[in-house]
Amino acid sequence: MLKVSGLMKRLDSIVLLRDVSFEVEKEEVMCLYGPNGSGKSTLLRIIAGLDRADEGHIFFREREITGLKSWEVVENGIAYAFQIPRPFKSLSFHENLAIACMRYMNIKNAFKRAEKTAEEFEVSYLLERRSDTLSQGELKILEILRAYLTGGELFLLDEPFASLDVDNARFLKEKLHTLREKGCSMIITSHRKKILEGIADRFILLKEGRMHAEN
Amino acid sequence: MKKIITETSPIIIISAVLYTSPYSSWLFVLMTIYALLTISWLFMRMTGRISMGHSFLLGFPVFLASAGYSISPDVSAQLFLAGCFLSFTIFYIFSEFTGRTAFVFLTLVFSILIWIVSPKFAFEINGYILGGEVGFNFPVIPQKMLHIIAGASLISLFVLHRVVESSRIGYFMRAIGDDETASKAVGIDLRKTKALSVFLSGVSAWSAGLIYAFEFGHVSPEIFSIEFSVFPFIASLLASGNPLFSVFSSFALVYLSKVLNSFYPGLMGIFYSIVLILSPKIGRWAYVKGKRLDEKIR
Repeated sequence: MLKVSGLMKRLDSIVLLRDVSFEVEKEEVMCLYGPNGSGKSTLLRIIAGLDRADEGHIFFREREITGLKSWEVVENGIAYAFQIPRPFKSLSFHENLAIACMRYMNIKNAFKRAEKTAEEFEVSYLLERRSDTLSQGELKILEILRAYLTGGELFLLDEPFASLDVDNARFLKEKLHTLREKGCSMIITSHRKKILEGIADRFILLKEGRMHAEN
Repeated sequence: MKKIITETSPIIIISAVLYTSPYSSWLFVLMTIYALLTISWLFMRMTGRISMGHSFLLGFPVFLASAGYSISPDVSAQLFLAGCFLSFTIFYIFSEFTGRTAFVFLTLVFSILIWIVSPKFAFEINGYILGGEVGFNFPVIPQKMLHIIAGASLISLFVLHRVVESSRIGYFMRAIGDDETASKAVGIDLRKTKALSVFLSGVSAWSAGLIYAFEFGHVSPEIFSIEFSVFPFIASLLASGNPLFSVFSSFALVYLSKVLNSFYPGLMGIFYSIVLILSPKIGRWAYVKGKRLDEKIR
């Protein structure tokens, strides 16, 4: 489904990614783990079109998507959720979700779809809340559901468990299980491998911009 | 629909009341010009771009058109369209290639530059020197007709703003206004949306510019003055960004400028300066009040 080959990224004299290559199959959940500064977020941002690679190629469903604008990457079926949630602050939870569907459906149906998804993920109680009043855990859910509603087939979730307390982390883990059961392919980054056990099919260690181990 | 009718009713009533005497009608057209300029500014504000150089968008096409009118009406029309295209392109480039803060200063500096340079623009026809600080003549249309045209333009563009705001594209614009990077990540085409926002802003400003030229029968470099540039920011600030209140605050500011300047010329300039200095405090206060009011209306 996704094929990354020979990805390189430099920032001045610092090499952020060195010859990164991997593949993700359909309905596969891959965990990318490693310490801070290992290049996990950079890699996801490059795949999502939010950043540019210096070298290498990215193919999605056998079509090259290297260098596409981020909205073109979304159109191709790849959705990205930020590590630090970036809600549209002047809008409600409901509007934030609906915006993600408005790209491919009319406004009325987008709101219906957003409502239905919130029910499915048991967060209907948040619908009318303004996003600037949400807690960190609620913002993480919003971020992931918004990515889900873009209609993508592959989800790039950047550190979804970062800065969450135990209860919120458990709650979020349940939601990721729901996404997995729906057959979504995902690349999830994390500092710790353990937290994604039971969700991920495969683990890759990224250290100093290089892929070190795969199991 | 009901909301739009309720909101436009007061504008129609004010227009009808001020239709009665030539002076009040003239004042209404003047208020409309400023209100249209504020609506134009609000269109751009939707994508998070705060323009401090809206005098350029307002004045450039009509300044060229008035220069062209010295040659022939056809040249005037062509130059107006060229001016619209150029002003759109310049503002689009600014919004595409600069950050939010840079956009504020770039538009301000650019409009001031045009204000300084425009009096140098002069040419000779049949032994007469045209342009310079005096500017160019433009045809006038009867006051009553202009009153109706101005009122209709204001209502149409206000309704357009309301319609766009609650449409799909309006949501995209608001999303970009909140967070450009997050908008990209949900698949919003930033370029198209920003271009549309600048275009809609342009349509409103160009209409205001044309009405201005028809009202005064003359366009001078003063159309690029800093007053036109900061006016929509102040009107919107005092109205907490609400489009309907922004129209009313524009009306009120035009009236206030007549009153203050009759006491002492330039007094309104001092008022604008005070509002700009206090804008962070006024902005916060107006935002909180506006938000509460908005929640009540909803």
